Amino acid sequence: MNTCCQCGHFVIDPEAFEAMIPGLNIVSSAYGSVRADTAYCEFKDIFLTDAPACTAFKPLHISAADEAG
Amino acid sequence: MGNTQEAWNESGEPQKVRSMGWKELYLKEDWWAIWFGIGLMALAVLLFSSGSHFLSALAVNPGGVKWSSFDQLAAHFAKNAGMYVLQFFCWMALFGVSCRIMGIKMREFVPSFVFLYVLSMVIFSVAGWVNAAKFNLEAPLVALVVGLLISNTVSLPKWMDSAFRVEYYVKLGIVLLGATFPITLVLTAGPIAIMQATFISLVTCLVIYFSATRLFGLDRRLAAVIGVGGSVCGVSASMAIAASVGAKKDDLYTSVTLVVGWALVMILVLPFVSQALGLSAGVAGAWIGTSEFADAAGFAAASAYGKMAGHEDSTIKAFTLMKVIGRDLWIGIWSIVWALIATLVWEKKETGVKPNAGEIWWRFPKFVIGFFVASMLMTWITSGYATDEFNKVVKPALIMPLVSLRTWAFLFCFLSIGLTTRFRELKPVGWKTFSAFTIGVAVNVLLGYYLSAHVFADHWSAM
Repeated sequence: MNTCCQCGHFVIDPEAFEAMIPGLNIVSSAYGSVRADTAYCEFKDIFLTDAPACTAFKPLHISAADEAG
Repeated sequence: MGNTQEAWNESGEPQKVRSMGWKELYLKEDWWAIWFGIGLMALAVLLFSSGSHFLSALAVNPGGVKWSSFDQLAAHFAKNAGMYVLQFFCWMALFGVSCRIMGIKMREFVPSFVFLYVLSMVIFSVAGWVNAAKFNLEAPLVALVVGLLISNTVSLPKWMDSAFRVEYYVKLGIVLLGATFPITLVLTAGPIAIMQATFISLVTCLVIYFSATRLFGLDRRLAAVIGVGGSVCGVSASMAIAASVGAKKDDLYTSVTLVVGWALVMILVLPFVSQALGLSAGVAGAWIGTSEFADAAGFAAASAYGKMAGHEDSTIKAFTLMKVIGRDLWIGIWSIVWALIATLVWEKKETGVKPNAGEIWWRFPKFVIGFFVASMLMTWITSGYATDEFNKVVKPALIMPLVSLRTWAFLFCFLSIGLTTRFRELKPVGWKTFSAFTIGVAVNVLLGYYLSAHVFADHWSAM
């Protein structure tokens, strides 16, 4: 079963998470415990935690050729 | 080390998915703050037991020099140059290694931390001027203003944020604070702080939520995200419940703008209003603790007023009881409550993850555990000393070096707030959202003042 963690739309890396929302690191942090596993789905535009993949699943590390083709 | 939890697939059937689990022991800054805070405390105890004054020398900072001429300041640096170099490398090693493990790039962190350390030294030096207090040149305020000026005029490259880890520094400072905070005080004064903070948090959250949804017709997810942001612990709380309610990116971005804007206003205003009202150090600390949303911003305001009032310790202690113990502890529960509301009252499909009691633990701000452990251990270690002996022997050789290290950690934090605040990057917020949040801020500040300065005034004044 694929999950969001294996999906290219799923932003969970703390560095990418902070870059996505400018100012988040001013008085908070994506590296803190309270965030736990909160991530962001670029396709659905919602915050969520890992979940079974939906129909918009896009495998991670997809090559440029695959993307174009 | 990983953990699993249940989530729904698109057909609404429960399935197992992965979560970070115990990997947070080395991937979250809360745990690193605990490892270093407790480690530094253990080192201090070890050196104290062996009669060594090495840590006192290493924890040097120019903030206490009280210089009146540049020659005096230069003489201080000349005398302690070796220790400053050693101290710099110790900080760099501690923060650098931990940040590397958490995934922060060293090529960005190292030059940025050099800049942060040197600038901190300059700010400590300004605050160490004999006339600094006359001009309100308190280190937290100077750090904030200098940081803001630099980040909004010079345009530092974005990669420098790698070492401007506001939350990491404040968490380490809080764990070190625990080492100077008697557990008996937590046990005696904690219940009132929890009661006051919980009451205000609930009222403020409900005021913001219902103002946003009923008065201004805003989306309920946005209302929930800014509601906890204004009542629990700022952006961290908003982020914690964002997944519970299935919030959108703009909802969290909006919370960032509102929290940062009001937090900065309150850092600069609350200390001076407290001074104008003649509040005691303890009352002001409690009031700031109920009014400020973010720990880092609150510590800056509390520390500034404590210095202005000449009782920094009392203000910091009252603030910590109110904010860290009274409010931060409940973030996991808030997350569960909103997940329940979103799934039971709103629609199940709107969130991806089933409400799970384990969230209370996983979203718990773990650095608070470090604060309690440090407090209990140090209270136990020093319990055998009579008051006189404690003040003459233990305080200067064991407690003060830890206070100085804590001051460094807090200054890194205050400076980082300013250096990361680029007003041009904040999202413009509509008047309805701003109004709903501001109504909550007003209720928060006024109710906090009434409870701190009237209902529980005796309690907080005695701090």
